[in-house]
Amino acid sequence: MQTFFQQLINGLSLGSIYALLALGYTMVYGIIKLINFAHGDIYMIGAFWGYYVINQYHVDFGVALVSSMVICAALGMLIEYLAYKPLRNSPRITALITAIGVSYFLENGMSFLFGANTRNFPQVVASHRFTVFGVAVTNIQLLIVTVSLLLMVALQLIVQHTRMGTAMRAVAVDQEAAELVGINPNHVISFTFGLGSALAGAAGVLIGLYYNSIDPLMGMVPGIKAFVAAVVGGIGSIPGAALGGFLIGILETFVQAIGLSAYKDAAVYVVLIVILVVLPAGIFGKNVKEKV
Amino acid sequence: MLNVVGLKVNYGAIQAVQGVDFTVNDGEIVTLIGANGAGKSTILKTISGLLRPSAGTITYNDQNLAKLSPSKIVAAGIAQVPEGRHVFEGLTVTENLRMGAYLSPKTRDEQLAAVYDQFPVLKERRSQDAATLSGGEQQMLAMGRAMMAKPKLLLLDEPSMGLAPIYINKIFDIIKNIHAQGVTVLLIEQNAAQALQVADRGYVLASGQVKMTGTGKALLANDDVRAAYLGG
Ligand SMILES: Nc1ncnc2c1ncn2[C@@H]1O[C@H](COP(=O)(O)OP(=O)(O)OP(=O)(O)O)[C@@H](O)[C@H]1O
Ligand SMILES: [Mg+2]
Repeated sequence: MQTFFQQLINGLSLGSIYALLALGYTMVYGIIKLINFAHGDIYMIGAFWGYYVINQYHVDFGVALVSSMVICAALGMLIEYLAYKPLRNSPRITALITAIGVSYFLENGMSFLFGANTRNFPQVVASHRFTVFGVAVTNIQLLIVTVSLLLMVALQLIVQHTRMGTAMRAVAVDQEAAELVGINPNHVISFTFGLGSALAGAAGVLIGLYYNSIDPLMGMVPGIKAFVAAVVGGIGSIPGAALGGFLIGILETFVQAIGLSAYKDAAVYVVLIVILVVLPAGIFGKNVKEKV
Repeated sequence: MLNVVGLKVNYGAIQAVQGVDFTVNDGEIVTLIGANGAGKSTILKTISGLLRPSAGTITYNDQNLAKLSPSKIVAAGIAQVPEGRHVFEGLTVTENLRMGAYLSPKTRDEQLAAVYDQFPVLKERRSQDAATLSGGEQQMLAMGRAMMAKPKLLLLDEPSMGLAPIYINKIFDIIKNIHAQGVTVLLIEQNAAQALQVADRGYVLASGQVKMTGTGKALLANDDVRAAYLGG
């Protein structure tokens, strides 16, 4: 029982990171039906930015987190403007391949500029371990889960209760009708990329603190897992992405805990396949027939 | 107020609108009638800026609309109720209406109260997902949403489509009521008899061209129009 709770805590921490990333995938997909394969790399840039400002300017965790969110939001919007916007009326596969290209560009660009080696993320928050009912919890884990939950609440407030958030939902369901009420879809799409990328930036700083190490390819596997999380939750659904992220994180830690470390990634893909077979629209997805 | 001259619109190789001229004067109700595929919706989408003309001009109070984005066209005072209603599903009735005032957030709440006065049924359903409304209610929501922008010119694309007769009468009453508030109306209908009754003037469209024009009364009395659109 103790191990169960122990793994649950570990799974929730990792799951928060996946959830933050999955939100970006799901929001972008919801609005322009693009799987933004470069999303995991924005998370990597967020981690590198945190590394840089903490080492260079000795800022504290809060400043690193917020500045990383701002930088990543700007980067996400820039990528959208330069790479995806010109393809707005092209076939979807074109944008998809472009996204893969952007991903390679960011990974290799960072390796080229800063080296492919793994770096130690500066520990701005001293790690403490304490034991509650025999379960070990670190303050870093609590920080990760708390910050993630706060960001998700903030996102929910923005999407549900602001003019821009409502416009996001309007464009996602009916772009033409949205244009007829005067919404400029370009602004809304740009805003969506900014919002998703900011969450990825936050996730990058949090994972740096948690795992201690960062490298230019660190976004690849978490990016794919977060994408799976978004599909499991029902792609396009915001609560679905959050739930999917936690589920995938928990699944991964449990598979590891029962001694099947080597299969932890495989387990995630098995879940993807099972979900696609039994619940093709995901947990919270609407079962709409897609017009292609 | 609105002046369309020599308008041509293509979808790729298909010429949907092939040189159409018409005018809407300030304060009028003008109707475009015509069979399926005549090009009516294409004309409205082009006025709203969703499609671009391949030839011709659309002038609205001395502004060339062909150069403006849909959002600028709404800001200039033209709102459209699209064919098939197109309410925002997943958004509540209130959220749908608020989106109608996207460009005028300052007067939004006061306009919302006015629209709820005009459409009490929407007020009753204000927290409901727009997708759960009946067809007639959705039509009212789409009209209320357009009114949220305080338009000077309202474009209506087949507002009575697919509705029961009792609802159709209601919709036409609302159109008269909106017109009485000083809004100029460009109405597209397949329900030609009722459209011509409320309209000051009408244009009969076929295969992307204007075939006939006149006052609502004159067209109603015209034998060719009666034969083709009013069931004899
Ligand atoms: N997106 C499109 N792509 C290609 N052709 C189109 C498209 N939309 C409309 N058309 C064609 O353009 C012509 C005019 O269509 P439009 O929708 O304007 O007609 P309409 O008069 O509004 O008809 P209805 O009464 O059925 O609404 C039709 O022949 C139609 O097939
Ligand atoms: Mg039509």
